[in-house]
Amino acid sequence: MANTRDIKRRISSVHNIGHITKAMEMVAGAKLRRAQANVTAARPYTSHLAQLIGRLFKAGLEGHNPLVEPGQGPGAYIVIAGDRGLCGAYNANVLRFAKERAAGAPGAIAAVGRKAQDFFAKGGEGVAWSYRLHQEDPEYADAVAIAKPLLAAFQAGEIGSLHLVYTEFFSVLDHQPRVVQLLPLTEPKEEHGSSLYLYEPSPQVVLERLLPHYVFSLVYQGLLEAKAAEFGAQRMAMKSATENANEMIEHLTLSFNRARQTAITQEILEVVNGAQALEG
Amino acid sequence: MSDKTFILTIITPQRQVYQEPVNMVIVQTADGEIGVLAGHIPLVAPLAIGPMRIKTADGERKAAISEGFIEISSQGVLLLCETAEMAEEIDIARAESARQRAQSRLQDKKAGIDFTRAQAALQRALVRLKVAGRG
Repeated sequence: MANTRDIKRRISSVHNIGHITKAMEMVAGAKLRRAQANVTAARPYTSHLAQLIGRLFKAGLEGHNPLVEPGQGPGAYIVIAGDRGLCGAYNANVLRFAKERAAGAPGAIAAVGRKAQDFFAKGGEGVAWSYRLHQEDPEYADAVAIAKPLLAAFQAGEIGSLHLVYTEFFSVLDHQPRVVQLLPLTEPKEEHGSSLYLYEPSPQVVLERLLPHYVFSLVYQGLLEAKAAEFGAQRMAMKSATENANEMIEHLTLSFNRARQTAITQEILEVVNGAQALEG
Repeated sequence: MSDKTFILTIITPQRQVYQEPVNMVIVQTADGEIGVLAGHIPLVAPLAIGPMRIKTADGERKAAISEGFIEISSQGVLLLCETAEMAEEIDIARAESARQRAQSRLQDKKAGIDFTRAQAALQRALVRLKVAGRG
């Protein structure tokens, strides 16, 4: 049995780890709230764009736009994962999901985040495009920077379709990897009113300019959702780490008490034995 | 000027910038400047990077907007832009440094710079400065 001093030292180090994970849990919680607010703030923009496009589709004007017609060539996947670990199975889940979806589309991975880059670089798929967020909160400019080269590749016929793989955030406990088709664009499901609009200079030109913006806004939405999911996963991971630390302290305290008791019993025995020896 | 009002809403990917009843909106579309009064026919048009003016009962307000779309319907006028700031929200120091950065990038014509992007950045910075009342 370990001696009491060793156990005491372990208790205090586990205690310190527990403090750190507790602090990290609270930091992740604060970031999560901000990320959730960002997701909500971005929704109206995307849904209004979707309505505009929906109306143009209804009016049958999508016909000759190259972004709507299926292209030739391999399908490309934008995969959004985190830069760091310590967030449970968050990265592993989305990357495994992406790998299954992208099977048979080698060399057409656009990796966002360090974990995604490493995963596909090692896995043999290869990373054709990669991107790292410069700061914690994704900006619209990030989405544009990610999607622009892929739009160009689609228009040049290098890729035949484009999907976005990210983690959708439902709640702190529930986030699921999800895939969305970006190109060729399909009709948005959004409700849209009448189609009696005048389009200037022409419906085709309006649609042509709208579609890239819509793709950017979908990517932006994906970035924000993924970030919220990452912080959610991080918070849960840190929470269970804190719980484990507390549990471990309990176990260690128990063995500490046992060791102390053993030592005391031992001492009493020695004293009693000594006294008996003197008497005898 | 007519005193009929309609609701003007400006939405960017980050937030809703503006939502108030107004008398008139003047924006730059890709084809040129248009002024919108209440009762305008439903219209959708792309917007150019530029200043916009909003006339309300309390006076005139200015805003800087970048690429986007205007949608005029019976419910009001909706502007969807990549960025939009009201004149008083503009960070002049930031716009000024953006202008200098874009100008220096345009001047040294090295290979590999994205010319159209630098030009758009310059234009956005200039519009912001103009709307904020400097430059």
